Formats: sequence, C-alpha cells, structure tokens
Amino acid sequence: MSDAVDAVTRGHGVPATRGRPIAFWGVVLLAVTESMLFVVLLVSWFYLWSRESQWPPAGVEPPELVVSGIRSVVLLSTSATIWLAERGLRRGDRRAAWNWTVATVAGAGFFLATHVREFVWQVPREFLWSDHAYGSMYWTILNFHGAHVAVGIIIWVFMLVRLGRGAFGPDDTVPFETASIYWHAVDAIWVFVWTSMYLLPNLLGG
Amino acid sequence: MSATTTLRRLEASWEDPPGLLGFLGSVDHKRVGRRYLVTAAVFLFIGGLEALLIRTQLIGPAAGVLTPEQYNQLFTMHGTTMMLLFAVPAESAFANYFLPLLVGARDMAFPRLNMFSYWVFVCAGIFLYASALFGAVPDGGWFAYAPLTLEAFSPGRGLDIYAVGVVFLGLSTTAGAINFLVTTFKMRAPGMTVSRIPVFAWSIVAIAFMILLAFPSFTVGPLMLEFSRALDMKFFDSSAGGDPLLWQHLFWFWGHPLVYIQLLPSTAIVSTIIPVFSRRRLVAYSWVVAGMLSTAFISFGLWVHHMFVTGLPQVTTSFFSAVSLAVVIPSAIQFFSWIATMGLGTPRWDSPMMWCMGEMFLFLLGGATGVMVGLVPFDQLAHDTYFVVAHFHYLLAGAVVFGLTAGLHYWAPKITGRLLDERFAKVSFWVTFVGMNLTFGPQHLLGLWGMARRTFTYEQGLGWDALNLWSTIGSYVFGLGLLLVAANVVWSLRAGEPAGPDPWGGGTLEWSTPSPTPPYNYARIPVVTDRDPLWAADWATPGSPGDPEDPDDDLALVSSDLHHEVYLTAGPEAGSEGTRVMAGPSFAPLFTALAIAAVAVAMVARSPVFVSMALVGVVATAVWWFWPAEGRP
Repeated sequence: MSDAVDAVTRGHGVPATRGRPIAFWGVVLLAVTESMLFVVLLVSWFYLWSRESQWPPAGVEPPELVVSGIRSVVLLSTSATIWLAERGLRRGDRRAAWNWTVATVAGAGFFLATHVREFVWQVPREFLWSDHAYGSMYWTILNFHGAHVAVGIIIWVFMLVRLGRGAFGPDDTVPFETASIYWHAVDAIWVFVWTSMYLLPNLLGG
Repeated sequence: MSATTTLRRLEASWEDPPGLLGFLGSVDHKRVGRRYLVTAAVFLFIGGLEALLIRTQLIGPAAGVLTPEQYNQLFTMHGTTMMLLFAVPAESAFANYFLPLLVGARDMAFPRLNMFSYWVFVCAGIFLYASALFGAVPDGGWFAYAPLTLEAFSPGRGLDIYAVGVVFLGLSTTAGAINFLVTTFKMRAPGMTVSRIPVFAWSIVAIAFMILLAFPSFTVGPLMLEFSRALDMKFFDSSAGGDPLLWQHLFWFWGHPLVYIQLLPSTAIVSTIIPVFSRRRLVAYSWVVAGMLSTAFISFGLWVHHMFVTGLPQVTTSFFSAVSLAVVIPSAIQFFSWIATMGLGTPRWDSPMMWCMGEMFLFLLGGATGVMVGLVPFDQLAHDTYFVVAHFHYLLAGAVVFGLTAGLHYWAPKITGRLLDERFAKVSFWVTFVGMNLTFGPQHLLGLWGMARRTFTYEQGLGWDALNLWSTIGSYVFGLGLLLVAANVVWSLRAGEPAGPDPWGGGTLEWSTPSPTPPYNYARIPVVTDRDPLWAADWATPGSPGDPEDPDDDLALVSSDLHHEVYLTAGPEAGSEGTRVMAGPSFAPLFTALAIAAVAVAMVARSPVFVSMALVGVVATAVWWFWPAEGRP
C-alpha cells in the first residue's frame, strides 16, 4: 500500500525521506515547554536573590553539597541506564531492557526517597516555606522537580508492566524512546536546578 | 475499486461512531474545531454582556447601575473572558478546523490530545464562571497584580478560582500548541515544502512556539499567587524578601506575547483572504512569513512597556521602548504586502474582504496609538487612562475580532456547506464597524482628558459626560453588529445557498474538497507542487496531482480494517515517509480532563486529602488513556 503511494508521490517529484516519529516531536516540544517552566522558576529565584543583600537569609545555612551531590550523580546516571535499556531493546535483548529499566526506577526511587527525607525531616527544622521568599522558592522549585521525577517513575513502571506483558521489541521502540526524552530532560533540568540552588549559594552566598 | 466504493469505505473509516462514544469521544479535528468556535462565541457573548453592563454604568456620572464591587468583578471577568476564553480559543477553532485542511492532512498529529484540549478548555471556562454561583467572583483585574490579590487584601476564594483556573486553562492551550506544531511538522501533504506552507498555517506555527515559551510564565506566576494565598508563601511579600514586581514581570512576560498570539492568526487570515479576492498571489509571501516569525520573536522583548510607571531604571525602560517601536517594522511589512497585493490585483468587495478592510483600518489606528504609548514620556501621562483602553481595544476588539470575523465569513461555507447572506453580511459589517469606532474612538479623548481606567464612576462637570454617552451608545451598536453576524450564520445553516466546493476561487487545498468537508477531508492525499495548488497552471489537468479523473486510487489510503489511516511526511521538503494508523474515538480524554478539573476544585477547596485523591484520579485516567488497545500487550 505504502509502496504504491510512494511510487505516485515520486512520480510528482516528491522525494522519499525518513523522519522522526510523531511522538518524538510531541515529547521534544513538551520538554521545551517544561524546560521553560524551570527557566522561569530559576529566573525568579535569581531575581529575588539579586534584590537581597543576603541569600540565603540570616540564620539559614546554604544547602549542603555532599549528599545532594551523591543524589545528583545517582539521578544523572539513570540517564545512562535508560539509554542502555533502549539499546537492549533495539538489539532484541528484552531481558537487558527490563533490567536496565528496573535500575532506572531504582535510581529515580532513591532520588525521590532522599528528596522526601530532605523535605520531611531536614528542611522544616531549618525553615518553612512561609518564613521568607527564599524558603518559598526553595520549597516550590525543588518540589516541582521532585514531582517531575515522580511522574517519570510512574512512566517507567508503566513501561515495565507493558514490557512484562510482552510489548516492545526491536521494531517497537518508539514509546520507550520518547519516554526517555522526557527522562533525559528531567535529568538535564536537575543540573541547572542543583547548580542554581545548591552550588551557587555556597559559592556566592552570605 | 470503483470511486464510489472508495468514498464509502473512507466515510466508514473516518465517520464518528454513533451514540455517546462518537459524541463525547470523537477525535475528529473538524468537530473539535466547530465546538471551539461555538464555545468561544458563547464566551464572546458573555464577555460582551459584561462589557455592556460596564458601559451602562459609565453612561453618565454616578449612574448607580452597579456597585463598585460588582464593577470590579465585571471588568475582571470581562478581561479574563475575552483574552482567555474567547480570543485564544477562537484562534484555536480556526486552527483546529483549518490547519489539517490547509496542509492537506486528514487528522491532527495527536487526535485524542486535541479533544482533551477542548474538554480542558470547557471545564476551565465553567470553573472560572462557577465562581459566580458561590459569590466569589474574581475582582483583582484580569492582570491580578500582587499584593492587591494576596489574601490580606482580597479575602474570599475569588482570586483562588482565578489563579487555579488560568493554570488549568493554560494546559489546554499548551497541549493545543504542541499538536499544531507536530501536525505542521509531520502531516503536511507530500511536496508541501517549507516555502509552500499557507500563511495561516505559518501564523499557527509562530503562535504555537510563542505559547510553548510564554505560557510557562503564566503557570508559574498564578501558582506562586495561589501558594501565597493558600500556603502563606512569600514570593510577593517585600517584608519577607519577596517582591511584588516579580508578579508583574511574570505576568507580562506571558501577557505581551499573548497579545500577538491573538493578533498573528488574525492578520494571517487577512493575508489569506486578500489574495483570493484580489485574484492575485500574495505579494512578498516570504517577507510576510518572516515578518510574522520576527514579530513572534520580538514580542518576548516588550513586556516591560506595561511597567513603565513602576519605577524601573531608565536604561531598562529605554531599551523596552526601543524594542516596542521595532515591532512596528514586521507589522508594516504585512501591511505593505496587503496594499501591494490589492494594487497589483483586481479586488472584489465581497463580505470577507470588507471585514479585512475593517481589520486593516483598526489595526492601523491601534498600531499608531501603540507607537505613542510605546514612548516612555507619553506612556507616563497616558498610563491607566482610557487612552490605553482605547488603544488595546482597537487591536483586540478591533483588529483581532474583525480578522476572525473575516475568517468566519470566508470559511463558514466550508464548515457548513452554505453561503452566508451577502447583503446581510455587509449590513452587519457596517453596524459593527460604526459601533466599534463609536465605542472606542471617544475613549482616546477621554483618556487624554484624564479619565482613569478601572474606576466605577466619575464626577459631573469634568466634561466627560457627552463622550461617555456616545461610547455607551456605540457599545450597544457594536454588540448589535456582532449579534447580526451570529444571526447570519444561524440563518445560513438552514436557508443559505449551497456553497459548492470553492465559492471564492481560493487557491489553497481546502477548496478542492466538497463543502461541508467530508469526514475523511480529502478523498485522495493531495500532492503539492505549488504554493497555491489550485491556482497552479496544471491543476486538475490530466496526470496532475489534482486530476479529478485520475483513476489511480493508491493515494486514497483506504484502510482494509476501517482504521484512521494517514500519510506522514518529513523534513523541510515534506518528502514522503509512509502511512500510519491514528487513534480512534475514546472516552479517556474526557475523563482525564474531568480528573484534572477535580484537582482544580480540590485546590480551591484547600483540601490536601481531596487534592491527593484527585491526583490519583489523574494518574488512573492517564494510564487508561495510554493503555494499549485490546489484543496488544
């Protein structure tokens, strides 16, 4: 069917091409607008910072770097594990795809669990979101990102369920590839969030 | 297969199924477009009634029609309704119905997401208006400046409904924008190279990118407002390290591009209509497209011109003033292209063309006063007066509404299959045009004479009485004119002359298919070899892409199992890629929209338990949406 159509369009001088799937462009554009969301949040962060003489405000320590650094490495390494899962799928090795996706969920789960620990036990001892604008931004931006990680975990669990039911294979990689674009975006955004909110206040704050 | 069997099979594949699934679960972009159009018209009517109440209150000094509280609620809801529930959805209506047709596609790239956008829009509209039932109508202006809108100064739930409602609505706009872009990237007919994309489709591309980059700001801002109100966060509280100006930056970084999101498709409609009625191709097509894209780009560097009186440094205001003047250039390019097209062609003055002339005139006046308020010293005098009201109503109630109405007169025959009454259309044009100018013309003078905006009345003896009276009379005439337009459309549904496929002699693809558009859009996937395919010298000659006698059925893409089969292309050349089966009707988009509406309600109710339950509902409906069809793992 498709070959016959190609023959007709070629007859009218239209070349045959191969492009990216529809879902790819959809998720790329989603990543664009989600990234913009974090750009706006971080610009607001720097805007309020620029209008204060002390950031974080008096009595608040700059965020610590060691644990958050380890968490960052774990989160970023899930970009690699999901890439390995994809590669396994493309090669027809569904077992590898399963294992690396489980590893991704585990890494993301560790990141989210430590995130919850930070906001349930650690941060409230120091400050609340209602204490000052710094606290409001801190809670809002980091939980926005945490929510994105949580959505990612839901997506990968959904993918695992389908994988277990026998879906996906070398010829059916699109859902996996598009979901991983979202995941890479969430990871890349974290680099900017961590740099702006953990690293820079330590370097420039006080 | 004979030609009639082909059409019958196509119809069976693409028609909505009967019953509730077809009605609530339809994924037909034409149905979505029609629904957007009718719903936007309803909101135009509601927003118009609010405007008439405002004008009635201002008919004379101390008229006593409305209390100050009611006046505040009305101008807030009028602005919010017209900007978000009328103008943007009305552009979406045309984009939904005509973007796939213009690019020669049978469907949008994400059919279910498309229906989802509509359901979210309807739910958000009802959500914003449900505030009236609980006596908590937003009253902080459509711009909702903090700190006025913080809990301390605006108690009650009115502004919570505003803040949550606009974020909710933004979801619909964003989903729509992604859909429009991917449709243009992937669904163009084979051979529709980048330089053959119709101007209107280009305008949708431009505004879709603007939506993706501007709307996040209007997600973050209102959420910060809601968190400040409900959770006592301190973003806008200067006593705790916050800054009220942050709200204004976030609001206008979205709010200014929003104006062009409304204006660009409207001017693109003019660029579409003028060549058809001048019987000449658009002059300087590539310049017009470049003009629209650069307007989209520049519009992100204008937002501070809404904030010239907030005490920002002079270097900042000067920069934004200069950029505000620069945006005149791409607009002027479009203008000169229209004039040249008419001058080099032989114009015919049918009703769509009349509305275009109205659009040009009002755009010119609104643009000229825009240059004035773009200058910092003049703006400092005119700010918050009726001069500004007159300026932006010439653009939004003038240029945008007239451009959209031009599009309605031009494209209604394609949607309904029937022509509007031409004489009636011209009468309604003149009534609307006179009413529009009578309403907003005098407001320039009122503004220059010092009458302030957003004030529920004025005192006697200031010399404003006569002009306000004229303005109020004008608003009734304006409203009457738009009602006449609606009456004409309704009348034509029953009694209009059958339009035939191409009543105007248009050059773009949508005129090559019967009116009303059949469920499958095109009996054969069109192959495009020209920017105005129907005007190509060899159109419909034997062996050409439009040849009606061509027995070759390969381009019909008749699906053996009645699936929605479409043809994909790729790259700037729109090279052919292959066929693909699209999603059919489903209830999941509706239920996902309802689950998100439940989150919005729960947020306004400030109930963490209810919010969590509703979020679980969103996840459940989304999983249902993405769950593979029966028989697939």
